[in-house]
This record gives sequence, C-alpha cells and structure tokens, in this order.
Amino acid sequence: MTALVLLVCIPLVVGAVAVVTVRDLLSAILIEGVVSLSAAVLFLLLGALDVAITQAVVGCGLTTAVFLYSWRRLPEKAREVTHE
Amino acid sequence: MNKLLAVFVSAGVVALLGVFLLTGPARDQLFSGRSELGDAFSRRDVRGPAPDQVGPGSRGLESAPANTVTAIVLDYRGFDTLGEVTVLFAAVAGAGLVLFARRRRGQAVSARRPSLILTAAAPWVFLFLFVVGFAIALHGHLTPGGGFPGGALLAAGLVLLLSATGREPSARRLHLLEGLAGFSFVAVGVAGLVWKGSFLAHFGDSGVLGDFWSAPVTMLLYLIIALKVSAELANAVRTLAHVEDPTTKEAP
Amino acid sequence: MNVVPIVAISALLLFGIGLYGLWSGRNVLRWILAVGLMETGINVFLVLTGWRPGGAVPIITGAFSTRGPSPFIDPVPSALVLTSIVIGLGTTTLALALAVLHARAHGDLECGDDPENAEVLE
Repeated sequence: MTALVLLVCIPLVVGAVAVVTVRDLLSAILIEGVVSLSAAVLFLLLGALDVAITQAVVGCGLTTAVFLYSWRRLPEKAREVTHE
Repeated sequence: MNKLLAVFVSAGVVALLGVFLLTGPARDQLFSGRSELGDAFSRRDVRGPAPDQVGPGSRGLESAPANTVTAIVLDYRGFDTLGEVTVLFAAVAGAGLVLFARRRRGQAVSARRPSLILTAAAPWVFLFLFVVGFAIALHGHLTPGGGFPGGALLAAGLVLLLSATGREPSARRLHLLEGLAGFSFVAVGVAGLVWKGSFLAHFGDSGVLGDFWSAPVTMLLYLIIALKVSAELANAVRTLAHVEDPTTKEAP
Repeated sequence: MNVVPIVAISALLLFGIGLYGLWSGRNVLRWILAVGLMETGINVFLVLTGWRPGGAVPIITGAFSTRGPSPFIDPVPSALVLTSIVIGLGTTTLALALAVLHARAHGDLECGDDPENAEVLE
C-alpha cells in the first residue's frame, strides 16, 4: 500500500512542478491532465471510488478537453512560448 | 527576482500549513478517518434509529441507496446538489455570454476536415460511451459513479459524434434539454414536499437495499442530473470550440 | 513511512506549487492551470482526512452491525469532494472563456503591469 501510494504521489508532485516550469503551453495543459489522472488513481487507493471515477472523467478528461479547445481558439501569438 | 519571492512565499505558506496540520493539536482528529456524522450516514441513523443489522436485503431504512456517498449527495443533501447543478449552469451560461457577447452572423466552421479514423470510429465509440454513460448514471445508487461522470460520458459521446460529422450541436436543443432537466429536478423536489413534507424528500417506497429498484427517486434524480450535465457540458464545449471563419473580417 | 504523511505532504506540495505558479508568471492560462493544481491538492487532502487503514469503501455490500463502530471510511469528505470537482470544471470553463476574450482583445495572454492600468491608477 505504501509503495503504491508513493508510486502515485511521485508523478503527482513531479507533474505539478513540470506544469509551472515547462515552457510550452500545450505541454503544460497535457501534463496537468496527467496530474489529474494521478490524483484519480490516488483517490482509488484511498477508497473513495465515487471521487476517483468523477475525477478521471470530469477532472482529467473534460477539463483537459476544455483547455485544449480554448487553446485552439487563442490567436497565434498567444499560443507561442510566453516565458519572460 | 519576482520568482525568487514567489518560491519563498509559497514555501513559507506550505511549511506553515504543514506544521499546523501535521503536527498541531488537531492532527489526531483530522486524520482519524471517521467522524460521528459520517458513521451516522453509513449506519443510516441520522433522523432516527436504524435496525441492529444493516446489509443487503434490509428494508425500511431511512435512505435506501447502498452507496453511502450517493445517499449523502442526493438523499440527505439533495438541495445542495441542486445548488451545485445551478452553479455549473451559471458558469457555462457565463462562458457563453462572455464569448458570444458580440455575436456576428458568421457561420461556424471546424478548423479542418475530420480525419478518416475519426469518422469511421465515431459511431461505435459513441454507442459505447452512450451505453456506459447511461449504465453509470442509472446504477449510481448501487455502484460508484452516478450522474456526474455518466453525464460527462454522454457529453463526450455527443461531442465526438458531432465533430466527426463536422457539425455543431444545436444550441436550441441543448438548451431545451437543460431546461427540461432542471425543471424535472425541481418538480421531483416539490413532489417530495407535497407527499413527505420536505423539499426533495424521497417520496417513493424505499425498497430493499441492494436491489436495482431500491431507491427509485434517487435513480430518477441521477438520471436527470446526467441529462442536465451532458447538455451543459456539450454546450460548454460548443461555446469554446466555436472557431470563427477566418475569411470573414471581425466587425469593428 | 506511513501513508498519511506521504499523501498529506504531496497534497500540500501540490497546493504550494500551484501558489508558486499563480505568483510567478503573467500568463493568464498558466494562472488557470495553477488554480487547477491547488484545487487538486485540496481535494486530495480532503479525501485523505476521510481515509483510515482498513476502512471499507462506503458501499454496503455485506451485513454489518450498527451497534459497533462503522467499518467504512468516512463518506462525508468524498461527498464534498465530488461536489468540488464538478464545480471546479464550471469555474475553469468560465475562467477559460475570460482568458480567450482577453487574448482576443490584447493579442496575447500576458496580464499585469499594463501601461494603460498604470495610467488609470495615476
């Protein structure tokens, strides 16, 4: 159990660091989806099955889809790497 | 410089929260994993005493869904869920208002033609998502899941089918479905008020725990929520996916 | 190590990383992503407060005595987090719509230290 939880928590935290540091906006959006999926697996391990399913479908799938759709609507210049 | 400050501030906040939550006096209570209210929900004795043994086959419980989380969300706390659905509706309507505030009569076009893989696979994947979505929503009182993930799956199937055919979902129909579902939710609540004396009370026979028909009103409410959520989410995706025709100039 | 400290520290780190992302950049879409991270961290923490070793999933599949302690994990945090996730999607959608509107008006997603703002503030 401890090993499994550790295995899930590592992508959770590393992915979160990647979301705020990665330069490309599209990569950040997709990594956020991975973080959400790790959280869903963590909920599964913690026994909250309802929350796990909702997080996987709504938090991981749909939120990422909504992010991607709005990314596609951005003007060209805004999609580019905008790191100072 | 700005980033260094941000690192220090957030590390400080996390350290403070960590010391307070993980070593403070509230720690044992916080991580005990049980609460009086939660145990009462599990035993189904919030409003009155429960039988000595509760399990599959129990009759006459104050809340029949075998899934305790569903019992909380729709039976004990249904009014809160009505508010939740309302917030979701308001947010999606706000998104539509913001993005279509200066609406032109321009025709929406998809960015590019759907690929062969999408058009070939879409009907089958839609069928799968449709069946799974309804199954999850209808078994919300017995198995994990319920109306919210079920409705999200229905919305995903709908959006997939429509993007494969290159059309947009009709806003009028989505709004109609959404309004009907919201109205039915309130109507079920009023029916509880009329028959049982409180808004959203479970007015049907609460049946045998574990049966498919054990909590008909809860099942109906989750079905309504699934339809409402699917209409709202399909509408949200439609709002955000609306790409203007690049050949028409934006009006000043 | 125990499960509770690992998950609690991960949840707090997630919250802190989100706070850093909110504080450090000027990109509106990155702010929304950072708020999503903070939200996930809080949800994980709340679900953790309902967990205990050996607690059963809160679905009644076998008979249990209501006179003794309940065999299930605490279902209240699960119900709260269920609501929180769905509302999070709604707020994210609204925030993204505003971000898209901002990007169409200004041509990019940068925000803050706007010369026009400075003029107004003077």
